[in-house]
Amino acid sequence: MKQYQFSQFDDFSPYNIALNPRTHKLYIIDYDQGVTYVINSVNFSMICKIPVMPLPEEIVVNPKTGFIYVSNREATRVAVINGNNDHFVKNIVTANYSRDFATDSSLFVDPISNLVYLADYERKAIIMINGTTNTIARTVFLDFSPADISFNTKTGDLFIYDDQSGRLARLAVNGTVIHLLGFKVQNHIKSESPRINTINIGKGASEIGIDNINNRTYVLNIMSRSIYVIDTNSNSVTDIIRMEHKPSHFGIIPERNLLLVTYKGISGIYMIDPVSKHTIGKLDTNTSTNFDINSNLDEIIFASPDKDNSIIIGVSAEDEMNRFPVRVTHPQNVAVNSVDGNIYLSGSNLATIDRSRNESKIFSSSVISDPGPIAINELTNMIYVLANRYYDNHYLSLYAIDGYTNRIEYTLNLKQPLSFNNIAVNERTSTIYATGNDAETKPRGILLIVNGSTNQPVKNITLGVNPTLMAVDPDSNIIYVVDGDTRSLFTIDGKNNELVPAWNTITFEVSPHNSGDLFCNGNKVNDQVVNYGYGTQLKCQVKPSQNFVFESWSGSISNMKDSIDLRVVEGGKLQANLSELPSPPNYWQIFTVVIGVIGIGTGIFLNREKLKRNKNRK
Amino acid sequence: LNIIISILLAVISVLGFGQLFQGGYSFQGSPLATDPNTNIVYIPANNTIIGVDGDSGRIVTKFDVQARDLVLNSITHELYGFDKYEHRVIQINLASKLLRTTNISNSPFAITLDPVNNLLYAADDESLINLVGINGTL
Repeated sequence: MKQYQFSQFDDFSPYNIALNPRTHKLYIIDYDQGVTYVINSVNFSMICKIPVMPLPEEIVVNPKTGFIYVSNREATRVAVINGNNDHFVKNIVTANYSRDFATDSSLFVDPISNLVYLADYERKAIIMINGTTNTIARTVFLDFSPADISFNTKTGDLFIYDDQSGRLARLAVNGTVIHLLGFKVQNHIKSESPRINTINIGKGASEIGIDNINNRTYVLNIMSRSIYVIDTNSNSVTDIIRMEHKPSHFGIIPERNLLLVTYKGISGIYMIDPVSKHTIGKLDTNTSTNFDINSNLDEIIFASPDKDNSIIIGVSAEDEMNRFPVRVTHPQNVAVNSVDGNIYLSGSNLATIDRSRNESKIFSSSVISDPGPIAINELTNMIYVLANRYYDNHYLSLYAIDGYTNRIEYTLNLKQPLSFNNIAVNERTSTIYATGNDAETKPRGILLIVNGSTNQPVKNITLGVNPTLMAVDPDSNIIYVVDGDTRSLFTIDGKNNELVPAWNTITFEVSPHNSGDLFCNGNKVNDQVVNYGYGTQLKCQVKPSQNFVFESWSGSISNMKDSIDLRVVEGGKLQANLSELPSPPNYWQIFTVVIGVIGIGTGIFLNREKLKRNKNRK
Repeated sequence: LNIIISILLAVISVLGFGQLFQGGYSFQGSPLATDPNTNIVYIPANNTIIGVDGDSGRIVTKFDVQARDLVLNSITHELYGFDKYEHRVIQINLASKLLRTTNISNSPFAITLDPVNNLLYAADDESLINLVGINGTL
């Protein structure tokens, strides 16, 4: 163990600490001064101190973007620091008032969705901040005070600790459903009639991209010279963008709501506004080229022959263009790690470009022969490369390269698929997906699934004829695969690695019969059987009849709230249970009985008086 | 009448406290740590770290050690925390259940982990950063 004194800086009242292992920077917040100290974690020299806000309490680092978030004790502010240049960006106001007393806050950042979660104990709320725009994305109110939070990066679930009752709650990925643990809860309704979910995207579809900010999926169709726009919520085509030339590649910059397209035989990368569908800019390149986008640094990276026919990697950011000459012929695929900016190029060889050291490394063809598609897990900094293999009775190799050391960590030799098309990785689950086809027996498409933690194949899924590109949505854990030959877009549920059913049948019941009305998304669904598309959001509530009260939901879901939010992922049954109130007393009957009793009493009394009087007369 | 009121108050008290204890387990301390591979949430309780299944809410594991501010390395399956009063950092291997402690000279108030270099940074109340090597890295 080693110790380092940091009180030498000045009067120091440290409160919390966070580290970015990639930049070797320690961030320590000073409660009294309201500043964040930035310290070199290797030699412990102070880099700078950044004023943030009074009474900072919690600090977290997003290792992917390098941004730092600091919350104050009142949970009314979250300070944003750009850790790449250690500049203060802004204070996000999360509650627009000052509190009479200090309460408590808890902070967490999910590097995959780039959402920052702030638990506000006093307001009984979880505030979600979009780390891209640094604005509040959503506020979820709870029926208890959240003392602390923790996150499962694989499932996307947030766990919330209720220190009053000593219980744990779970906030699901969609941010709407909260289940107190201990209740019997089933999130998913079991499938009854599975059918494969496909969306018709036309013959010739080749590439796909997901825009999680604007909830759109884009599919490039080379033959019809168009881009299909698919609404992620309804999984249906909502628009088609036509192009003048035959496209070859495309990409998305969600933060700018911008599409990038290259055309066959035409040099340059073209920028298209998906709303107006107009070309609004062009990046000059010598040829039509493959490219990748680094959203963190707002860069476009491409590989194309230079004027003297040497291959260059171009990095375009704003008006600047940096060029890296690389000894690789026939450049096919280029990929960039948006965390460290390092670039990977496959062609005749595999090349890696370390931009911080300004040096490149070439893997010889005896080490990796005929490298192809590249995928990067930016969380683990593992680079996955598919390559042909012409010996050893295998046809394909999957290489995993450590991005820190550029060493091959393992090689997986495979017999299927016979030829590959593309590769993608789900950073949440560390699962690798590769598309290809097996034409040995009959033409059929194959999706290969590999567990990135154990480096072992999980399964092969047969789909379409020749699936080309794919995209992974880590938040919903859905994998989209494009098969241009069958004009299909397949969706695969990453939780069980099964093709998603096209529709899901939900049976609605109210018990007892006629005890109330059940509404879902405004429609009365009593005793109905309804088909919903995968992922449909439902808001269901019960309106009890007179003399009935709501008790619980049962069937495929157990819940005690009379209004619930659901996301349909499988078919099943939803039953609302109500109970009858005890009958109120019948006041007319009581009144009649009272009057009757009074009448009888009066009669007896008058009769006695009459007898007394008669006696006295006698 | 006094007897009836006393009985009623007693019944209300018992029912009220029943509600108060319905959580079943009184957790103290925080923050939590979640293992993404097993979906187990680790919660510091009274002289104990409790592992709660994130799906069922059931307690699935327990470690008899006083700890605060849990940090988890999901790759090596090591859980870290600190004991403010005993001036030490705690390391638990979740696979082997082996527990190790490293004494530091002062009272720690926060820790953070460097999973790349297998180092733990523990800041203490005497303005010292204690750099703790994990599994012989220092």
